[in-house]
Amino acid sequence: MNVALAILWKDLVSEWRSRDRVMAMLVFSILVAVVFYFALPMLRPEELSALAPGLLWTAYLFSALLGLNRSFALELENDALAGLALAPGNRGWIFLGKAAANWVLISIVQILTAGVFALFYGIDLVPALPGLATVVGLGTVGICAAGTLLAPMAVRTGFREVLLPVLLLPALFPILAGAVEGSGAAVAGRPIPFAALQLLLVTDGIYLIVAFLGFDYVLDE
Amino acid sequence: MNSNPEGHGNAQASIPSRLESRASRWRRPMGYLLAALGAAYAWSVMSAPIDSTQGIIQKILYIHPPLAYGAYLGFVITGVGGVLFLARQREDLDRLAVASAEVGVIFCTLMLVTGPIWARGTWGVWWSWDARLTVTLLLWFVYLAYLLLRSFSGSSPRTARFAAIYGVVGLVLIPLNYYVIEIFGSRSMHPENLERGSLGDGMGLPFLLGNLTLALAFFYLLILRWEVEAQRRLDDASTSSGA
Amino acid sequence: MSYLLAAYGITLIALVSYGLALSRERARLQAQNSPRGDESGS
Repeated sequence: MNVALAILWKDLVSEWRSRDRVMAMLVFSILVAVVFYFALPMLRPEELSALAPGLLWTAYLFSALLGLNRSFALELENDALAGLALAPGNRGWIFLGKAAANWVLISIVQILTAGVFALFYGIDLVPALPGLATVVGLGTVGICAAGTLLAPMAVRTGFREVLLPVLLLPALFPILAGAVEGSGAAVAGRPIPFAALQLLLVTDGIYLIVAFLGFDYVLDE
Repeated sequence: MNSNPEGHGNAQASIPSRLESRASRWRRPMGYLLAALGAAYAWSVMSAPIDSTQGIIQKILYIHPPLAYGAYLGFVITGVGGVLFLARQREDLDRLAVASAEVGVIFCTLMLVTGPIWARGTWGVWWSWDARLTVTLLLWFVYLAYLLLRSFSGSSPRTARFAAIYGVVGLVLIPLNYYVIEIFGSRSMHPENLERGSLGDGMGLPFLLGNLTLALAFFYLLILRWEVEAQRRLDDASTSSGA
Repeated sequence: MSYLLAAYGITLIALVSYGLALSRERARLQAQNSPRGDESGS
């Protein structure tokens, strides 16, 4: 448990010093929002805001991929993975620390991105905030759980960053389905369907367990 | 035929293992049975009555759903094999996992080929996000990711471990994706009938034979591919130990 | 009708040629692996 907190703290502090990951993810998200604007010129504003939850989650997914790729890159460059692996206790706690750090950083980017989307597409997000925050938070747990498990694997193979989307996106379809459904309901002012929340919770739970137990094999040298 | 080149520790613990040898012994009789079943299956398909409403295209019913055995069983075996490999450290189970993934992806691909053909022939559209076909598509991506992960990792003990972990992820996704598609999924314009026309008279036998034949074909190819994997690793080991 | 033939045909050709390719490779590798000095033939 202490290991997890230590790693969480270390990662957040090192990110605070350089802020490069968060910056990169944020810029990327904004660019994606602009790309969507150009990609969908034929839509009227109302149609665009109906699409907004889906577009938002697309942006979230891709910027998360960006951030996750880098989450182990630092260790890889400094050959620190072996040192990490020597940390005492169950390696699952290392996973939790890393995943939590990813969650915090990605959530920050997501909040700012949502603001940008609200601006670009003229949606008032304030009334939707509690519901939206819940859905996004839950969805991001799943993204971080699966992503933190798969990123160190992808990064140490021949094709590095290219492999992570290939591995992670199929795993995230359930999250995407539940999150878009839930976000759409929140933004439209409807109560969030229980099925969506259930899907997110179940998927999150499964991925957290699998990753916690399996991280041992991922970090093994 | 046991091999144990000097010094490579556990990595070269006997290839093929007892399990593999036992499976191999089944292969030839399975092959004969497969040939016989295949013939009976072909005959029954050709002599099956032609559906009055859908026409002859309806006969795809005897080949498309049966492919599901290979497609789904394939990944289940890959996932479970991987877990057991991690738990028991048995290389032969890793060989089984990779064999099952390769044979399974072929069956999955064939499902994705015959499904649209069926849809096109019956409804006029190639793709319609029909619930079951969509789940099969998602499974196909998991297969692909698994195989890409293995091929990009080269052959090392680490590859097998990574692949096993991803195998578990994929295994979990099978029921999850079903759940997703059921709740949110089908934007399908067409009802479930795409897969389950109610079986009328004379359709029971070809359907049964189709299921049996393709299931048996899966296991036959699985054992064959398993053997090939063992041979490949033997070959790798011999070349790398400088024999 | 042609759709039907396509479906069955593709399936048949794919599975059979895959099986044949595997058999050939198995035979080739077995021949290659057996004569080596460090294992007994079967």
